[in-house]
Amino acid sequence: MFYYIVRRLLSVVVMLFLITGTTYLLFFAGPEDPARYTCARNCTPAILEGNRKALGYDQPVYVQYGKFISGLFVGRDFPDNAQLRADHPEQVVHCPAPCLGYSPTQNRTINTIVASAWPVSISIAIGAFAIWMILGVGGGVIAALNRGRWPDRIIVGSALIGFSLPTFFIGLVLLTFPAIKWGWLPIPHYVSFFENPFDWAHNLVLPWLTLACIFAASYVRLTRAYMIETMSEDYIRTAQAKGQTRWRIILRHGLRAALTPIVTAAGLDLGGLLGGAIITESVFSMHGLGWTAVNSVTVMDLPVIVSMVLIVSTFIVIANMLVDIAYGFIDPRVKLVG
Amino acid sequence: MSETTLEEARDGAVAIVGRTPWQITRSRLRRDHVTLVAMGFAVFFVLLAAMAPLLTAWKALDPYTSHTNLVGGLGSLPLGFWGGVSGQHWMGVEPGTGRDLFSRVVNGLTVSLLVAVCAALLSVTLGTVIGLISGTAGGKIDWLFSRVIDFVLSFPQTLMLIALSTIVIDILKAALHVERTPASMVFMILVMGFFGWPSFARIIRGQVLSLKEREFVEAARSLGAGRWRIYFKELLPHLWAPILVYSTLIMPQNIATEAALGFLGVGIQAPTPSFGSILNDSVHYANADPAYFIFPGVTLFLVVLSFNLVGDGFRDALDPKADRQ
Amino acid sequence: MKRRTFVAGVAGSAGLALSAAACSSSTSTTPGASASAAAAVKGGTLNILMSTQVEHWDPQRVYVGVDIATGNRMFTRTLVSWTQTTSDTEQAKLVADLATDTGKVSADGKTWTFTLKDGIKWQDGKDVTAEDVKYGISRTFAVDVITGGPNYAIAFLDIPSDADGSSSYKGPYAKTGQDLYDKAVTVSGKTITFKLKQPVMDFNNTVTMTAFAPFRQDKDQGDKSNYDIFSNGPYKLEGTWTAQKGGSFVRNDQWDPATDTIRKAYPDKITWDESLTAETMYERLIADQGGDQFAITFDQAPVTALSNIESGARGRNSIVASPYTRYLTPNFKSKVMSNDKVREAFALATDRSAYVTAVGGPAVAQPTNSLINPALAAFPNTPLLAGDKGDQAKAKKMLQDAGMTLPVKITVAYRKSDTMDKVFSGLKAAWDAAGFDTQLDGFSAKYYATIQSPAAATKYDAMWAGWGADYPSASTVIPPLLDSRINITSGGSGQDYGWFDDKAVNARIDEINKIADMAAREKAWGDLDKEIVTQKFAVIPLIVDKFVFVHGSKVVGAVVNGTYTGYYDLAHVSVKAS
Repeated sequence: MFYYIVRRLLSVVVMLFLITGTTYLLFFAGPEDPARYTCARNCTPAILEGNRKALGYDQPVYVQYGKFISGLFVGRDFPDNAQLRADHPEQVVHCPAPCLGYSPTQNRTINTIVASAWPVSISIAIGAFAIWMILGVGGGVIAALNRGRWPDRIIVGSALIGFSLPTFFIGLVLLTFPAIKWGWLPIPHYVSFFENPFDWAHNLVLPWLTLACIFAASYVRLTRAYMIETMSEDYIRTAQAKGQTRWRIILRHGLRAALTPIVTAAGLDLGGLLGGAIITESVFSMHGLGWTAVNSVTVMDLPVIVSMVLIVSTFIVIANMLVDIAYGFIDPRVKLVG
Repeated sequence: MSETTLEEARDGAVAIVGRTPWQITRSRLRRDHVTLVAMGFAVFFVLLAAMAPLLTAWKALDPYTSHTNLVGGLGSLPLGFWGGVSGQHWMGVEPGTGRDLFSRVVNGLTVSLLVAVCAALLSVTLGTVIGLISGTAGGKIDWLFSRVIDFVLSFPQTLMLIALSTIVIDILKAALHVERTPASMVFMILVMGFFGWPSFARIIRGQVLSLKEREFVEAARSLGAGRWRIYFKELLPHLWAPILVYSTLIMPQNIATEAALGFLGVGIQAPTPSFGSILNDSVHYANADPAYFIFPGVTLFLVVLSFNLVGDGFRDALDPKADRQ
Repeated sequence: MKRRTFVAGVAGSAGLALSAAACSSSTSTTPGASASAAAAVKGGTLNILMSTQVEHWDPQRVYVGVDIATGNRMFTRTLVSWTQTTSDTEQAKLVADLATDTGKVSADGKTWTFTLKDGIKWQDGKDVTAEDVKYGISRTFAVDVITGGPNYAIAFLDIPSDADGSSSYKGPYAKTGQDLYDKAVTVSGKTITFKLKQPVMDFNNTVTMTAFAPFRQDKDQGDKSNYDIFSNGPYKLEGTWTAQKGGSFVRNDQWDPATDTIRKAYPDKITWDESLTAETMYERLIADQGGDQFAITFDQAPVTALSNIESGARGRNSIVASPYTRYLTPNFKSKVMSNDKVREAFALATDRSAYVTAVGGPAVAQPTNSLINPALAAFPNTPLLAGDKGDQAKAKKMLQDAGMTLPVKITVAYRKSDTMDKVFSGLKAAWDAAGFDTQLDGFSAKYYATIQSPAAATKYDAMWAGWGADYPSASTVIPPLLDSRINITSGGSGQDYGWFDDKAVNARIDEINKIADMAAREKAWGDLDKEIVTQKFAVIPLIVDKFVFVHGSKVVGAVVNGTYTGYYDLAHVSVKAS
């Protein structure tokens, strides 16, 4: 088990190197001059050259990548210019490790951007996760147990409708009607949980529902399918024959076995969401990681884009690893070989 | 939704022993009215989309001509009942221009379905080939492909789609000497197709691993059949069920992704309509001109729903658990 | 003056192009501006809602109209400023702000002198000195650090240029050529004197831009100072400014109202939230709930909100002519567009009515055939070549007569939004009817940086752009956009996106700059505008916008200065006690 975890950790590190490397190549080795994207309307060759130097774009991609990686461990200065550091230390921005970079359009280090955006994304992800797991798994179990009868039909039908509606459509309907037109709920804006937990939740209801709607629909389908499968297994019949109560069978045997694939999916979905729910955050202007990513694409803020890809990928890769490890605990049939 | 109970399925299975899988599937589908209706809708949408360029050429559909006399007032909203619905304009007209909304939705369907189908074909082809090779070859090749799959799945798909759009569409435009519309379509097909194959390759690989041990493969191998013969002559015919199901299920996802990209500002160049670009505009009219919001939205919903239903129906009908018991 | 546009990804259907009508500046539907001004009370919190984001608060880097208008009223005082008034006729009037008067000019128009008032302090209690003004202006010369701002200081001050055309003074950080700057800008006690290269008769208008505002040397951190706000006005930043979020402003107790005839500074606090989308923001303003009753915005309404504003925000909206003109520049480096007849046919075929309809109708946009905005005295009111819709048949004939093989393939670039997609779909239809085969290329990321890059010269045959005067003088319209000498470099076309390079026009610009009489000078700019549009076809003016704004029901004195800024003047805005 221990060796397995060590090996998985190693592969996570390798994977992250590969991902950042690829992302760097994709964005910085293209034919387009990345400095061009830092230059606004009155762009002169002097400004272009200045920005290129200040952001290190004048160096080969592998040097830039090396600086990015070393910045993660030892921090960086922007602009990275020894002369300027000596003459005008007040003009140099220091970005301490783990330094993700510096956004020329926001005049902030990406660390500070992420620090302010992340709580928003986490809040959205966790609340939505709780709702969709309860609705999705609960609905799936009820549907499976009533297979073919009306509760099943209603649940499966509404899950299919939810599954077929695009996220931004649900989000915009929720924003336009309950919030703006009817005024039942506030137009979402982020309030820190530690500032006011009630306002926090009150403002997040709509983003939570939007995300939960989509995910709950697929979890209903998933849970239902696995429950039906496990409930027809022989050991369930054995348990029934042994005279165990219905609910004990459902919870102890049926759901537990069906749980393995659900946990896998849930872990991966949550991992992806912690890196920001792009569409939901955009619809509600919640300034989480997803919104930041979209916004930096709109203004072509390359350093931020690369960091966002890295952050989301990190979550996915780590979620993958945790799910694999969790497998071993939930499902005794799975053996993790080191 | 094929909601046969366990008992029915068992009884049915007993009764149909000896039929080919295709016959079983057909008879199951025939009893599944929801899937049949959905299939009708899906076929209708596909036909409509395929006919749209012709209908537009014959002037039966006109997504481009402005009718500024049909819009007016502050904000240039459609005049008349429900977004200007009339005998000529079945879904009303677009605010700001007065272009026929039905024509735009139908032409948009063509673009969206074309992108979705090509992307699905690309992912299914890549997924099948790589899954087949990975599953049959085993060993180092299998390990390598599995790592590649992990790698591709670790990228955030939506983020990569929007982030790469600005750079890659320009590169494609220059490389293929085309306008922004075809370049955007190629971009979406490539990226959606590229991020779609790994999960399917995993499914195929799993199927191949279990098929590999079956007698007919052993038999072919002992008869001295080559690797490629085994891939394509022996294994592929047994994989059509997951391929069909997966293709049908990935279609609605691709359609929804195309629409979401339009919403995020990545899309087809105007004046060519696509679901993404129409919805991106219309969602902001939810308040001012609800008809403009509802008609395209409901159409998109019906398209996605019908494909989802067909996919579900196929999956149930092809359920390997009930396969020739 | 620049315009900021939506950057948020979802803000698709943009009010980028709400367009304009009449020349009259302010047709406010606010019930009696003067009546509400009478009810002004001190105190309360004013909430500013924004869907566009401030790129710079550094006074030397600000060049976006909204940021100049608001920054000046809150925390960046300038030597001279535009008056605060609710009357339509006085909006262009200049008043002394930091200075004791609106400036003294020598007979030759080459020397300007300003004297600072007593008792003006920075937020830390130190005096604002003439040296601070001199230091502030010097920062503009550090072109590699202090980017984004206007370069009037470089263009006007009497400092020689290097061989490559850049100023020999390299700014206060490098200090190269510091002696040259010290000669051009001299300080004696409270008096600051500017020596100019050429006569600039309206230099006191130029110094209303915050690029000519004082900056304290000990607070200068170069690029890091971008969002630092060090106030000498009635408000100071509370805490820090966060890009894409905003900040809040509280009273600056070092500001002495006795030194300030402009800023009434009614609210105790001003919050600024720039994290919204235009659509949501306007839905909120129309709904007028809670804190939004005390809200105001400087972003015009998106076209999707217009009909709801009419019904839901009666008495709380303003429809005012914007200071901007939207236009097309044919690319003189393109093979087809370098042909005079093709440009003429292109201009003739342009259907401005499609533009007007797509952006919301005649109430919010009006076709124009002048580059200069109607709000300026120089406006030549050039008649359209062939009405709002253009004449496609005549244009087609013109192309055929010119020996072109039809269809003539062209590619047109524009800044993408849902509304602009509709606009250009309409324009394309008309051009195609006239024998062109138009390919559209709409994109939003770094639009201007892209169309002014050398690569664009071979990609596009025509490009969309928009511009508004920096202050009410056409000398901030024609030269910045069409003088090839200050625009075209190896790095790109500057703001002369069509690579228009005409010696006669450049010579005429020099002549007009020397005309001392303001009325005669403005008329000459108007004539040159007309010549460029109707004879050279170097610019195809499209429309003039009207801005539509909404404010909360408890906001008083929300009146737009339609001549100078085109935005609500914060100087006299107050909020009712709740």
